[in-house]
Amino acid sequence: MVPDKLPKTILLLMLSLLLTTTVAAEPLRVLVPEFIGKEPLSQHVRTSVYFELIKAFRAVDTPDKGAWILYGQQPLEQASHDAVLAAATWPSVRADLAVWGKAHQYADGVVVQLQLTLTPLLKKRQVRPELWAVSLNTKAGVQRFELDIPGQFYEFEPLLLNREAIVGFQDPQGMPLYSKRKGGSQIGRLGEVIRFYEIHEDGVLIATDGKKGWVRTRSLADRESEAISFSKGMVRLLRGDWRGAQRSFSQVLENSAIPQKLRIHSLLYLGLANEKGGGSGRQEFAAAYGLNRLDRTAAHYLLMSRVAEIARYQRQNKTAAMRQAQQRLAADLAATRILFDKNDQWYRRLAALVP
Amino acid sequence: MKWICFALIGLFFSPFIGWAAPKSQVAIFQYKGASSATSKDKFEVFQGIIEDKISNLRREVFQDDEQALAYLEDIYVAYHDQDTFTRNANVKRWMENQASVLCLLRGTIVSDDNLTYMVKSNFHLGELKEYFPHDVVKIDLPIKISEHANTQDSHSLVILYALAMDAKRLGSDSHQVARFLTSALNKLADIKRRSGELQGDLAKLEQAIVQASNELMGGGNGS
Repeated sequence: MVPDKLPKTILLLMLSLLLTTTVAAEPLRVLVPEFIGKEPLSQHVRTSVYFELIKAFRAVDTPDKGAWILYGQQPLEQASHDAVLAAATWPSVRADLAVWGKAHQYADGVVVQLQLTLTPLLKKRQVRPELWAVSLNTKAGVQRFELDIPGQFYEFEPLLLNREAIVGFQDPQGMPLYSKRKGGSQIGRLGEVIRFYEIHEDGVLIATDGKKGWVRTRSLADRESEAISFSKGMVRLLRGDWRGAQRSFSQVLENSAIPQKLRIHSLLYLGLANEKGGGSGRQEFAAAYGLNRLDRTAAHYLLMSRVAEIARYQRQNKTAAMRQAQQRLAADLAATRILFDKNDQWYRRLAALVP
Repeated sequence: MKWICFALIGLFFSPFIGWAAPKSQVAIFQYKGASSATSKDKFEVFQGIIEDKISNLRREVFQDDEQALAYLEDIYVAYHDQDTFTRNANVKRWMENQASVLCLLRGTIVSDDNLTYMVKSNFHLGELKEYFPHDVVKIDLPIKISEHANTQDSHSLVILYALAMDAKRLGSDSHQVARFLTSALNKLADIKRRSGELQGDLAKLEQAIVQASNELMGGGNGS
């Protein structure tokens, strides 16, 4: 059971939604459902992840506030993306993304496995700035080529918490509430409903159970974990904040200890943010494909960058350069042919661009 | 009446003609040494890791490709009591009679000091061993937090290889085989990032996966 003192209601944080960019995409809803695992530890870990996300989008020095972070009430049926999709798309929740996890108890500590699930609700938004579309003039008229984002399901590198690290996560009474941000005395515990007043890197001023005080937030990792950076990058990208997305995915890529799939997709997202921001993502797409030459998703982006290249030369009336780009597209199509279904319409349309 | 006769004949002969249906069962026999309270607890941790992995495998490999997802919809873990196999030949025969078994997992949980436990897994691939030189893939890992990720990835690596070889056995299109090998190559990279160059059967499995990838790419570099 969840400890009584932990919040039990879904908290919709009325975070202000002002983006510094001019993008019209609506704010996103990020669900942090109950974690699976031994309690109270798993729920304390969940609360820590929740506060990490709150800080990522609401800290006083953070300019972007493009997400509402939801504290999920219902327990997950199992630790699976499918179970999370069911919980996140429930009518009263309607989350676009979910950051969730499981705490595995070992004799020498705890392993926290964090995951990110993007829900199908993202595709129902009126404005979808993340879609990549390139139009080309062809003999058959103007043709439009589109690519959606590369993935919806992500697993992060497990966080290892040794015995010493988990001491603070095992208090069955819940997280303590202090009278001051630093120092002071304990005046209570985290209650069921929270109202946020100030959010800082090291603590959050809240009102809960009729008391106003500070919760001292603890990170699960030494620095911002790749789960938080990646999720932040996703929200930024999905809202059309290209510069913010570039920063977040670059930060993820600086971490040498991330899963290969996450690295490949971070490169793709970084390249996509570059393309959408008016630059080229070709270098990132090539690097992603270079990490795994059977990766069809990376191949998609590599090929699309060739189409974008042709479109650029076409707009500039550089015929010779355009022909060379077509040859490069032909070579990449040949190299990636086995990754696509023979009837893949997107691939066939690209192949038709090659004279 | 005629069709019923055909169906009955088909059912009778299907084990002999090798009815090409996808293999969907990951058969786990209770590990030896997992009966005492403590080691049973360890085995349950291990089981939880495998179960979580399998339940997310479909999404990891196929993302939201609904058509492709249907292919893996039925994959499941079936638990069996501790086996009585005395030789690998017995296991092989058992697998031949269980057409739906993708791979068979059996093993031992051991501890010298009742503090540190080691899980020794034997993956039997049956007819799906293909490029792997032996009948059994042996993976030994201690049950501790620092090896959680490797336990997860090494076991899912073998399952992904079996799925790729099963897709090949079914004559699936190369792009479907490639989907499984893509994930397998990523898992290999993750294990190597944590542990350096692979040793023992994992190194041989790496060679098998690279060889399968190269063949798929038409002799190119598949890694």
